[in-house]
Amino acid sequence: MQINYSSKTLKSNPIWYKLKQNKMTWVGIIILALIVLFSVIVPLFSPFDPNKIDLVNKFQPPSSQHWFGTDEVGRDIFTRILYGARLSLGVGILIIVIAAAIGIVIGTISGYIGGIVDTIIMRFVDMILAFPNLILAMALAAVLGPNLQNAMIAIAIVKIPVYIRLARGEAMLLKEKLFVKSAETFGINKGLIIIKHIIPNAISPVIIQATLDVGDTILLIATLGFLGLGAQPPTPEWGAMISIGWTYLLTYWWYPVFPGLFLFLSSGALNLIGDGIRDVLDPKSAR
Amino acid sequence: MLEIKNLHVDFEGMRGKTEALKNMNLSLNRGEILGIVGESGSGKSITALSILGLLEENAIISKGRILYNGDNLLELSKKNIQALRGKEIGMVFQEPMTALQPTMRIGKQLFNVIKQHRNLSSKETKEAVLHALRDVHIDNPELVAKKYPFELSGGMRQRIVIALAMAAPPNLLIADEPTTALDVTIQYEIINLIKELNEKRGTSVLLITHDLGVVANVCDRILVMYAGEVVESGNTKDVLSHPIHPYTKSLLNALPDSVEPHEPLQAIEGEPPNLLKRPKGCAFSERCHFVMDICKEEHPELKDGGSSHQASCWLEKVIV
Amino acid sequence: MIEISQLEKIYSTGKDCMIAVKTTNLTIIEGEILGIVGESGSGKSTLGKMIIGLERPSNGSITYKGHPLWNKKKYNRVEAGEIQTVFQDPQSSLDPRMSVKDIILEPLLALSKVERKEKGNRERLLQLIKRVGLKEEHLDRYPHEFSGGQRQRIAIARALITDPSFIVLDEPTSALDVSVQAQVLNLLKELQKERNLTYLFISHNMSVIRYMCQRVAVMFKGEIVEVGDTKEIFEHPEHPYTQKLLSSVLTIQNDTDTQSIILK
Repeated sequence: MQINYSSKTLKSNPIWYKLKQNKMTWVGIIILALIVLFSVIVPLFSPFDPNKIDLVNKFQPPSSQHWFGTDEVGRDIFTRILYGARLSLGVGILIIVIAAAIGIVIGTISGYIGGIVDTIIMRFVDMILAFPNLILAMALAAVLGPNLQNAMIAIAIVKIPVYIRLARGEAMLLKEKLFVKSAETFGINKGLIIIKHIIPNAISPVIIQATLDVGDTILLIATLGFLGLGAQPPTPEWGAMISIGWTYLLTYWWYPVFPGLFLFLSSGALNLIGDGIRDVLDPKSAR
Repeated sequence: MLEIKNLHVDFEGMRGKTEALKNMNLSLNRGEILGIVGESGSGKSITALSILGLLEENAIISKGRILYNGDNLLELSKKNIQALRGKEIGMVFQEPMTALQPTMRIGKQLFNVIKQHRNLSSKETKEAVLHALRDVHIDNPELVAKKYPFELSGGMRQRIVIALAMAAPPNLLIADEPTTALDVTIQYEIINLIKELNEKRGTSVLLITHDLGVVANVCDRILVMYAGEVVESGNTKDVLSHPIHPYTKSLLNALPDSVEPHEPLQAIEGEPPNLLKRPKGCAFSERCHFVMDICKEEHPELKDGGSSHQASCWLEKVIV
Repeated sequence: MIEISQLEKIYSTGKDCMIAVKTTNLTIIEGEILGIVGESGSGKSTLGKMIIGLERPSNGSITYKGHPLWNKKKYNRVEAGEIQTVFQDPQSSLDPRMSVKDIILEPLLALSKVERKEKGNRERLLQLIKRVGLKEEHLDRYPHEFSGGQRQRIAIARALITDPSFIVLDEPTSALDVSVQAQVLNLLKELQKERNLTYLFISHNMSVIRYMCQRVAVMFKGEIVEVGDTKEIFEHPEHPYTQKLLSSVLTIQNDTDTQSIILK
């Protein structure tokens, strides 16, 4: 059913319209915005130093002074969570941006060029994907040495193949599209076709996947932190906090629960945003 | 038998309300083949979908009635409409694959449909399946019945779809661009098949197409649609040889057959109007050679939904 | 201008092989519009694709102004931008993420820097889009903002930007409405005369072929069964397939004397 719209009306922005329709995306955006806002503002005004040891006040339950209580050396958990937010969110996003960028370049080349290049790349990808994410990241982080930077490299390596696969699949579909075929008839070289046609058209599923993956990556960093392979104490990283707090769950429940809650909220929020972006970018969901 | 009375269909979309169908009137008599011709966006398919209750969710039927043997289809429950489709009203769409079950053998599909609508024993139903296939001119029905849809050519598939649509057998067949995806030689056969089923069984047909050639060859009467409205209606012969509405005239003149190769084609300049913001007067006024002041100000109406040859054009009203 | 000799295209998948184009010979004369008519699966599109380099011939040769277009497995562009194509569906032949300006200028990327500058200057671009019936303000918009007819005009402008001598038109109006088809056919015909272009016009639509082409080749199951003057073939088809094809066309025969419709 085709309806003729004049070109004028199409100037109004459909992306905005679709975003407005999607309430859950807004829930995600608001949660994430609040976490980011707090993590920027609160440390400026907080009377507490995230790393200062105050043994007199250890294991204080939540109160008007220490909103989320204090930990085993008397640090304010609320302050540490918000410092941790800068770290966890920042690192999570950075890892994914790097992994997605590398993945889309390799993936589109692999998918578009095909042949032997594709075979070799895909063998590698299959190899990496054969291991469970976490195990491989753990092994890599352990080999590289336990610190945050190495944990980031390990997670990025684990994440890249997903994007290669995704971008390759898109590239293989796009290769058959008439606009790519017609670019081939002009006689312009393949690299240019990849840059001009394949990457721009393959990018939206990658962005969607990336948004969904940030939450997962934060969890991975946290898990590595939890296992002692990521950020080292006393860095206020969520995973590390949960990992230590875990042992106190029964006696001082607030210690692991609040960092866990923030982890849950931010990865949930990112998933909602990812879903929203998918709806916005997917032309088939157009109303 | 089928009557549509000033039907209005709007689409609620991100850019506002699109008036996709405006004041549509139609009456189809028993045993008749009525054609609806128009270009894309003219509202011809929306008409078919409204009758079948298959409009998309964001469509709003703001006014009007669709009467089938006196019952208003718009007031029927979903279940009743579904019962009507298939049993009373058969349908054939442009893309035959969408109407077929890809994982079921042709014979089985026909068997199920016939079994559902007719009170026959299994053995009789099997006979009926072969008979139905023969009716759509499939030479070796036993063989074809055992095949899956993907094993058949486009033309064969469309025959199967017609056989399925005619299985009940229905009193009305709605065919929306049934031959558009097919080759010319196959189109010719399918069109003849529809004509034959109409003659032999007296099935009424509502044929929706953009192809004036198809219309000229099968329809008793036609409606010409433009921008969601009927602009001209009448006997096929009258409309095509003495078109009244400038749009119909232009459309006929735009056909490559209408001129000698060395002459330029008489194209209709411009594009159909934006249905979000319908012009106040005649929808064709912007592209019309004979435009007058009144055309831009007032909307010309068709006299009635009747069968006489008429057009919604001020020109006609001024002259007559 | 183009000489096709003993051209063949065979697709083979394992044991099965499908002959898409059977040993074909055809000459395209400079300045003519040669039509290829046939139904789906007749091999007409495959033939066109071998000329523009999208399908590799299995056997035989195609020469363009005496130069072979295929050198073993490699497509050999005689001169970039000499041969251009307009495809059937302008919706899918235009990259949805590129602006109209970028789309039209894209073929220039295959040319040398000097030529690119010369042919891509704004004045020339504006002249061209005006000629095909678009406006300057359209340049910054994206394909989805246009109707089918306008999109095909964009595709035509893109094909003309390199000043080609030969254009393959693969069903250029099949996705368009009749009234818009007429506009595009007129435009194509005018451009052909103005620029002394040679067209290979591939279509399944007999009326369009009759109107557009001086000569026509009828393809059936991968073979050219009849080739010759369009008028001649339409009036006296010799091959039984051509006869069947012509008699299947549903037309509105509007006899001027009696004003009655003859049902064919």
